[in-house]
Amino acid sequence: MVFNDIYEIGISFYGKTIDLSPVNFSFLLSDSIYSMFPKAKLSINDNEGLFQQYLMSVEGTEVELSFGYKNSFIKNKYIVNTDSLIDSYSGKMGGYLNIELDHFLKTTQSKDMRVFKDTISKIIRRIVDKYDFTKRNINDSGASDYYYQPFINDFDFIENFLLPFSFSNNSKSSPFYCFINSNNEFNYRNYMSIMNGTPSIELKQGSNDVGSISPTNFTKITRFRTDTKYTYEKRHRKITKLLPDGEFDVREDFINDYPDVPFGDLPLIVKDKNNFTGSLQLFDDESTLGKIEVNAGMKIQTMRNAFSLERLLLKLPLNIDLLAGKNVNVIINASNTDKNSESYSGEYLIERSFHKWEGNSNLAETTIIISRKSMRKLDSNIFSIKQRLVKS
Amino acid sequence: MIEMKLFQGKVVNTNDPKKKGRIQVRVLPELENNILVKEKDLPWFEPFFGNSSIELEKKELIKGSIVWIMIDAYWKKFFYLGYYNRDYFFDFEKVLTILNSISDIENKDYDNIRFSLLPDNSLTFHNVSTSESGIIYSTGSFILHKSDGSIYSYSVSDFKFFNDTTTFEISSFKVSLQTSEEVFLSSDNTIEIKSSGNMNIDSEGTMNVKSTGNMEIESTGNVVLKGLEVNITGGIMTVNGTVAPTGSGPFCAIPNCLFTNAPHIGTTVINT
Repeated sequence: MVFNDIYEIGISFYGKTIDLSPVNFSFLLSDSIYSMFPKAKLSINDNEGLFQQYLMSVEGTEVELSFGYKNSFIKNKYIVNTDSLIDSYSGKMGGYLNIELDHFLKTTQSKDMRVFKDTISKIIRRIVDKYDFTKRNINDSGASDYYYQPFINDFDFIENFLLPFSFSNNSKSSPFYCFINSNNEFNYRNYMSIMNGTPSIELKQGSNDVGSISPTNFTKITRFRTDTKYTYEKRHRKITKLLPDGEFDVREDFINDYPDVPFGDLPLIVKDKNNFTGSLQLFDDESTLGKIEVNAGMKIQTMRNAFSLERLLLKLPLNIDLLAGKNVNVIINASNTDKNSESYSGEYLIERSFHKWEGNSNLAETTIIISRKSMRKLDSNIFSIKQRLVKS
Repeated sequence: MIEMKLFQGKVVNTNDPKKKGRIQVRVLPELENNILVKEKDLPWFEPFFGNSSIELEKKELIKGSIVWIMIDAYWKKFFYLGYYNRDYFFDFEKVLTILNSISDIENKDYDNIRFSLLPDNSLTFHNVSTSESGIIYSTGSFILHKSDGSIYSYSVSDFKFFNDTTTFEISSFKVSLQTSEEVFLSSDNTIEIKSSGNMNIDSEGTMNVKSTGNMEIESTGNVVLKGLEVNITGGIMTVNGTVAPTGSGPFCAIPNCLFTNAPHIGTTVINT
């Protein structure tokens, strides 16, 4: 449905559009490079209780949501996970009906048992070809080996049995991410492949001026810190392996060893040479190239959640091009000046995206969490600045 | 750390192409469909025990049996533990029947006996109380170490002890000792050799028969002493009987002098 001659906002249940003005409902679409499936939350003003009466929020109901501008929008099919009623009117079944939605495939796949003997990317291609996606972005990967799918569904198999060993020489020891975004695009991509291309989107800081409102101008920027639990275990690891002759091989790696080529100028974390903070035991069988790559993949993939080190949260007017797994060039001003901050401006990866429609306030908004691995080196020595700031 | 989970499965192949004692198992129910998961693609499981590099053991589980197996979280490491349910195969009566087939075995208490019954019904056992132990083969042959230290060995067919130069063999029709080395038979007591048939002693070299006591050579038949030169020496020789004249030979047949009637012959020869 085209709303206000600007937005495309649509909800359909089992393929049938419902007769409901967008002012009577809100939703939030979200996706993440760390999660296979995108999610959505839907809130409908069901003051008569009719939606509930017609079982439109029961578990398993198919819901399709489309959102964007009238000529360009994203669309995805979801399935009801759970529902709840808040603000009910005087104990009746009417009120705001909140529905939690999962991606359609999450609970509509069949569990399967199969054996594959191939590279991981070829196995993934074979699997996802069975399903309808708007697009498939699949990077090549190696680690050819036997992979068993022990009566689990396809995407659990990809996430838990294939992704943990993904390896490619082209990825330069950067991890692979596997996820479906809010536009139903399947992605199996490594960090280098995402970040090596020139960003097609440039985001700038907006001003208070109404004329500066644009889907590429962010209105809010904040730091987004995650817990050190993601990085602590990976700062300095003991990598162990039993060798065929019974010897125990012990090596070490550091969080900054990934990727294995220079990337950016200055890593955002300092090596902790003094303390071991984690460990990883590799498989003892390296009898084939595929098995060697399985081990190499495991070393890299366990770094997945610790790969990006600095995160920012940006809020913008609705911009449906901003989806998880895209790289963006972000121009960030230095404080109190109109000059760009050289240390903060640069290329970032969108880790998560949130696209929100708020019917009661006619608000269409995008929030993204962007991250980076390293920063641009400044002319001045950053550590001497640090020393100037710290009183001895 | 490798996290392992316990599963059960059916043994489909024990003929490990790598000859490492592995078995191929159909994991149940995770890989139960033999159309979707072909037998040749099933994972190979290593034995979880007996994996020491200084101790080789090949004792894989029987094809067709249900077994306990362990698999890691990624289905990359596979181990087998043992049979799933002992009720359907573990039967001490089977073992007892085999033990009872050997009357020389003294103690057959379940509590004392450690045993291993092999797929062909051969049995190895050891009595932890008496140290009686042995192997009873499915053919009926057995080797038994008894509690007093004696060793019994029985074969339903040939018996053969041999090394590079010597073979001692007991077969259904002969007992033979064949060797290119010296044979030495010694006893501080009596040695008796008895035969109900013929006895041949054949030597291509010198043969000495010696005794520090008396020696008797006796036959109820004829005795032939034959040699290129026969010497009878070493003391007194007594020959009883008379000589009948034949006109040739070394013995004189005239007992008295024909002229003086003085004795001409005697029974004793001295200075032989």
